[in-house]
Amino acid sequence: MEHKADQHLARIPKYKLQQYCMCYLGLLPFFALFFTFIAVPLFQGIAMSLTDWSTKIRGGIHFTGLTNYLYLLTSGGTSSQRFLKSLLNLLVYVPITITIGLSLALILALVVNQFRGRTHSFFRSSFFVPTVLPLYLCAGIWQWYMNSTSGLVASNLASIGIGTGVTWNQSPGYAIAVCIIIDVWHATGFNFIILSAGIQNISPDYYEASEIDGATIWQQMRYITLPLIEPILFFVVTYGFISALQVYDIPRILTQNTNINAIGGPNQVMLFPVMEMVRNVYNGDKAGLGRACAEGVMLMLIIMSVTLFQFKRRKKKV
Amino acid sequence: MVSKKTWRQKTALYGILIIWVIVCLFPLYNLIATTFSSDSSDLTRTFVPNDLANGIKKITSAFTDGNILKSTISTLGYTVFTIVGMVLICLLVSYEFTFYQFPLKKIFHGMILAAMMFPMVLYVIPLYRFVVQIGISDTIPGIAAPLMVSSLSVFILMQFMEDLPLSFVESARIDGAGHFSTFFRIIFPLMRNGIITTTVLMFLNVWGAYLWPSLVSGQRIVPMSFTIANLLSPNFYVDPRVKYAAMLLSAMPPMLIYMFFQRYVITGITMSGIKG
Repeated sequence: MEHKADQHLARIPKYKLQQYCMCYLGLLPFFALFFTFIAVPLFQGIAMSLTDWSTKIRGGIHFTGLTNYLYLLTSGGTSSQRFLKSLLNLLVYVPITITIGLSLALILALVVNQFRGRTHSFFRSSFFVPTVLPLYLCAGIWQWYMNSTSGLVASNLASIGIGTGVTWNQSPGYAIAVCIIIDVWHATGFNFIILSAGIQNISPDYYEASEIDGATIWQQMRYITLPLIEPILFFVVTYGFISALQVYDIPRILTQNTNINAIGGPNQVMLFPVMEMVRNVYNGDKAGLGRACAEGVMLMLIIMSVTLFQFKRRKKKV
Repeated sequence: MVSKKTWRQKTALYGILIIWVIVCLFPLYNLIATTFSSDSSDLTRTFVPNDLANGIKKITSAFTDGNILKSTISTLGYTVFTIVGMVLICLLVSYEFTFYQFPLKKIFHGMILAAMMFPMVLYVIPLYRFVVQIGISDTIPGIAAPLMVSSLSVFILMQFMEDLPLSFVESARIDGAGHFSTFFRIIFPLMRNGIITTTVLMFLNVWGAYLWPSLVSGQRIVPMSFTIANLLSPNFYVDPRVKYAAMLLSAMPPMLIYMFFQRYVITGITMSGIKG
């Protein structure tokens, strides 16, 4: 990313050492906090994932190599089972929520941009309302709506035969569906705004020219709009992956409980990796913190590989 | 752009949009209607407020018994603290990046980019232990300091800053203004729109944050997200209308911000998309 600055900066004389010092002084507050609260914990987390760090031990921290990783992935112990289950849930949740959420946002953006002026801005402002609401509130609203006895949505769905007699928050499959519904409801506004901005940046000339050639609306969308917003679509997909992989607030609040082992629902139907990470901090297990760090590192690897994979694919296409 | 549309196409398009508008807005309206309804009304199908006095009673109860008053004060406290600090440090960084050339600039820029790729969940555990160890957990600076380092704010502010002509800085220098007095007296006032955009966007983020605030607080500082999460848990019985009143109250600050600063919110989101 080259910013415009670098071009006009050439005009500022680059000599005095004093000048440089001033610049570094300006960067100091940000980078001091950056190192203290981001860089150091990040590397510490990687290092500590190789130890038996826990909240309990007095005797110090011992290097244990890959023990935490092996334990989590292969041992079959409680924390291991829970972590694997949370990864499995993630594998179901992420692709579905991204596909549904983005297709919906794209359709809405394409349709809204058929309108101009007041109509356009009215729809735009309304669609963005759920995104403005904090996630805990979205979770609260949908906990109420998906309640099997008193929930407006769940009871209506039950009457047409979807999920009749099911407690949505606690049943396998349905629990993840609730998370997806809430995430789609919340995130569509965000994706819509970004896609919509991309569509508006397309020059009207293309549409005029194609209209003269007799193109229909569908052909215009297929051959003009979609190819031209491809870079923005790419951003939205990448961003969607990164945020879906760290899903935490919604499932945590829906299954909030004073007993930390109950968080994630019965049989961990709604357990996701970040929730499991936090549980390891509080459960007082031997090497609990070390395991939490190992889970963090694995999540980091997943996020990084997904992002890299998408960037690579994009480069190939260009 | 497309002028010739049949009325049938138009109705279909409007249909899709209106359905989604209802999906977006109805739950909020429903929340209001149910809060302001008598205790005997059905929780599932109360679509019209029918008992204002009861609603006011529930709201009062949410403020006091539901801990919403304390949470609002706490949350506003650390949100404002975070944003003031963040805007200041991020503005300084974008000022240096936009108007000056200095060694290692690329590396610093790269670090900010990298910070964007590592969301907080990846290092939240060591960070949490560190904040506890140095004894600033459950304090406003303890919650706020890690949230201040925002790459997104730097990028948004930088986009606004790049619209300012370099000649402002140059002429200030010629008139003898120093490095930082140029920043505070020339750049700062000119960045009004950028500052509002970042503030509004980050207000929404920090107000809604759950993972970090709920990890490092609990006794003296009670984050709103933490309070709502506890109200929703099955461990304690809470009058459902008090719950809804509390939820409604927790939505007020972000909703008000959105209503008054809508233009800035949308600009900020658009910018984060284009730059990211």
